[in-house]
Amino acid sequence: MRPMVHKKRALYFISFAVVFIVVIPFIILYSLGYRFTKEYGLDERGGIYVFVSEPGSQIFIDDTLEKVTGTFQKELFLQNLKPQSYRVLVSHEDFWPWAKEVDVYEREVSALFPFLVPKDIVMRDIIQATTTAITTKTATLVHTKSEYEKVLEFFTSPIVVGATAPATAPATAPATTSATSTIGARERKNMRIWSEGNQVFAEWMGSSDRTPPYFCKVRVCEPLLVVFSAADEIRSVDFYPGREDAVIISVRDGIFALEIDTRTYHNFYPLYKGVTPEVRVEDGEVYVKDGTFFVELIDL
Amino acid sequence: MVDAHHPFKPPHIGKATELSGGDRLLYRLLEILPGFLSWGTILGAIFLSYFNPVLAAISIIIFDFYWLLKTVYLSIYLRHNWRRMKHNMALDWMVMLSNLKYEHIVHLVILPYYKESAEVIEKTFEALVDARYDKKKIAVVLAAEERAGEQAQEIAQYIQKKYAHLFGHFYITTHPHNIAGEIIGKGSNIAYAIEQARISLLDAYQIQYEDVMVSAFDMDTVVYKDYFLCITWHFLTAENPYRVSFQPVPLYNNNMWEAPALSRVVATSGTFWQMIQQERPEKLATFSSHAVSFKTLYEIGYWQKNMVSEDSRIFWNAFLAYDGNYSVVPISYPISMDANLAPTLWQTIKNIYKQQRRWGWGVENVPYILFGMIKNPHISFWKKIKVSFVQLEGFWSLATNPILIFLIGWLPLLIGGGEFNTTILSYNLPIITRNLMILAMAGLVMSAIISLTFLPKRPSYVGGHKRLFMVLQWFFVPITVIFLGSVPGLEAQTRLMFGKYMGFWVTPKHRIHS
Repeated sequence: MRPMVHKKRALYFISFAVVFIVVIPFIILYSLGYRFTKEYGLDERGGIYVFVSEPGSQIFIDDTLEKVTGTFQKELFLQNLKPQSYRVLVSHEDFWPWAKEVDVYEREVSALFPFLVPKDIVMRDIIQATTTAITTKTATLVHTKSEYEKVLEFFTSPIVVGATAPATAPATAPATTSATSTIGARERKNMRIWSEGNQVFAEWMGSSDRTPPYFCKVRVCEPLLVVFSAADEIRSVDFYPGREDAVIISVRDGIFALEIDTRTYHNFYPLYKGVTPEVRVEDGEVYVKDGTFFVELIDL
Repeated sequence: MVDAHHPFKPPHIGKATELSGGDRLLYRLLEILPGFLSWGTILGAIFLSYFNPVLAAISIIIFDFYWLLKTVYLSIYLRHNWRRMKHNMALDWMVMLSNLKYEHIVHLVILPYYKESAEVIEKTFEALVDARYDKKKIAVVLAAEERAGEQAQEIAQYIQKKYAHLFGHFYITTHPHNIAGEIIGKGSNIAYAIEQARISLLDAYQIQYEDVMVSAFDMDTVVYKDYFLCITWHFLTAENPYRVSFQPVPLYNNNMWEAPALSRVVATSGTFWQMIQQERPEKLATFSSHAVSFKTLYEIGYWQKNMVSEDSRIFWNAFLAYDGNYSVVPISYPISMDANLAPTLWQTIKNIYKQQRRWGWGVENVPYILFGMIKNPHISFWKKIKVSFVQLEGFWSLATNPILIFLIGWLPLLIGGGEFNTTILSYNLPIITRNLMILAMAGLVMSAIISLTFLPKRPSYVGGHKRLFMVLQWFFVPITVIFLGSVPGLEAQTRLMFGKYMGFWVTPKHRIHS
C-alpha cells in the first residue's frame, strides 16, 4: 500500500480550498448581522441580549416566550431581528415582572439586564439591647457594639463616599430652590447617584464608549440623567444591593426600588411602607429607619 | 566526505556565532525570523483587537474556519496512514522480500546510551533479538557516554555479556567527554560511535558502505518484529536508495498503560502528526528514530556534533549536500518508544514540557536550511520557496495557532472597547468560534478510535477502566496544544531569536513495572 497518490491529494486540497473560499463570505456576512432576503438581496439585522440571574425566569419578546432560564443557561441571545422596537418581558413567580421596550438597530445588539425585585420581602426588626454585650478575651474586656448601635450610626453619620454632588445638574432637570437639600452622592463603579429636593440624579463617569444605552436618546448620549421626580422630597437614596443600575429611595411613607434606566417601561417597585422611613445600604444589607424603629430588608 | 566533484558541501553550522562577517549577520537574521513571525502574529492580534476589534474579530472567524477545514483535511491523511500502517503491520515482509536479493544488506543499529536503566536497555535488546532478520547481519553499537560514569559502563558490560553473542557484531563505544567543538548530546555521541563502527567493523570486515543500513535509535526504541525486513524492502525498492532516509512511525507504546493522561495525549498527538506527514512526504524530514544508508551518512559527514536536533538536521545536511535531491521515504511501519513518565505527575508534566521545548528547538534548522539554500545555487528557486514556506509555516503554526484560537480569539471582547461590544459581531464571535471548535473537536473521536487500535495489550496490573480513560483523555487536547505545544515551541523560538541557544536535554526514562 502506497502513500496517498498525488492526484487524490490535489483533489482533496482543491475541494477544501473551494469550500473555504465559497463558505467564508457567508460566515462573515452572517456574523456581521447581514441576512439574505428572498429577493437575493441583503438585509441588516440586529439582536437582543437578555441576562437574568434568577433560574426559572421566563423571557418574552413581543409576547412570545423565547426562553426559560436555568441554573447555567441564564441568558438569551436573539439575533436575526429587524431593526425596530421590541417589548421584552421577564416573568418569575417570586418576583415582580420586569418589562422594557427596546430599540434594535442594524448590526447591533441591545443588551438588557432585567432588574428583578422579590414580591415578598422579609423584614427583621433590629431591637435595642437592654444590656451591653461584653466578652472576655485573654483577660481583657472588650466592648462589642450591638447591631442596634451600628445601624443607628449608619443613619446618624454623614455619607462618606463621594460626599459632594456634582456642581452642574442636567439641563433637563428642573431648577431646584435654595431651600432644597442635596442628599450625599453615592458612587459604584462608574455610576454616581444623588438626590436634590424631589429628584434623583445619575451620572455616568466612565468612558463615553461604554455609556449605558439608557443615557442615550437616538444614539446621542448625555452623562447626566434625571432618574426620578417625586411630588415630595426624597429623604434618602442609595444603590440597590449588587447593582449599579438601580437605586433605593425613601419618599413620603415608603421605600422603593427603581432602575436608573428610564426608558419605557420605567420599572418601579415597593419595598416597604411605613410613616417617614429612611434607608441605608451598608455592605449589601438594606436598613430602614422609621421613626425610632429599625428593620433590615432581607434577601433583596 | 562529499565526492570531490560536488560543488557544494554544507558546513555543519550550529549557530550564527560560528560564522563571521556577512554570513554571521545573515544567519543571525534567519535565527530571528521564526520568533519574529510568531511574536509578530501574537502581538499583532493583540494590537488589532484593541485598535480595530472588528477587523480582528473577522480575522479570527476566518482563521477558525481555516483551522476547522485544516483539521478535517489532515484527518483524511491520518485515516489513510492508519489504514496503511495496519496493512504494513499485517504484511509478511519476508514474503515481500522473497523475490529480492537482500542477504548482503547489513543493519547497523546505533543505540545512544546515557544513564538509562538496565531494564530500559533490556527491553530494547529483547525486541532486537525477537526481530525477524538474520542476526548475523545485524550489528549493534551501544554508544555510551564517558560522562555517564562507571555505573553506566557496568550496565553496558552487563548488556554486552547478555546479548552480544546473539548478533553478528556488538560494540560498546564510549564517547569522550569535553571534545572541542562539540556540544553534549546525542549527535556528538552517535557521530563518534558510527565512525568507530566504520573502522572496527565495516573497514575491518570489508563490508561495502553501500550495503549497510544504519538505524539511529534512541535507547528506548523498541522495534516491531518485521522492522529490519520492512526497511530492507524499502531500501531495495527505492528509486535512489542513497538519496533518501527511511522514516518509521514513532509510537509511544512502551509504557502507554503506565503514563498519565497528559503524557499519553501529547505522545499520541506526536504520533498522529508523524502519521499525517507520512502521507505528505514532501513535507517530511527525519524525526527521532530513523534509518539511512551508511554510504549517505559517510558522504555528508555523519550527524552534526554542535547542535541539538541532530535527528532532523541529518536530513537537511543531506538535502543541501545533494542540491535538494534528497527526500524521506515514509515506511508506515511503527517503532515504539517511551511516553514521558516520571515518579510524580508534576515531574512528568515538567519533563513533557522540556521534551516539547527540545523538539520545538528543531526551529534551529530553519536558519540552517534558509542559509544553506541561499548559498546553494543548484537548488531550484521554486523548491527553495516551497521548502522555506513549509518550514516557516510549520513552526509558526506550532507556536501560534492554538494560542490564537483558544486564547486570543476572545481578546476583542475584552479589550475591543464598549462600542465594539454592542455590535452583533461581538456576540457572534464567541458563538461561531465555539461552534467551529466543537466541530473541530469532533475529529478527536476519530483520534480516540485510532489510538485505541495501536494500544499494546493491557497489562494485568492495569484495571479495565483505564481503557475508558484512553478515550476520555482527548478532552485534554485544548490544554496540551497550548501549554505543552505552543508555549514550549514559542519559548524555543524566543530563545533562538535572542541567541539564548539551548543545550541537549536527555528525557529521563522511568518505568513503573517491568
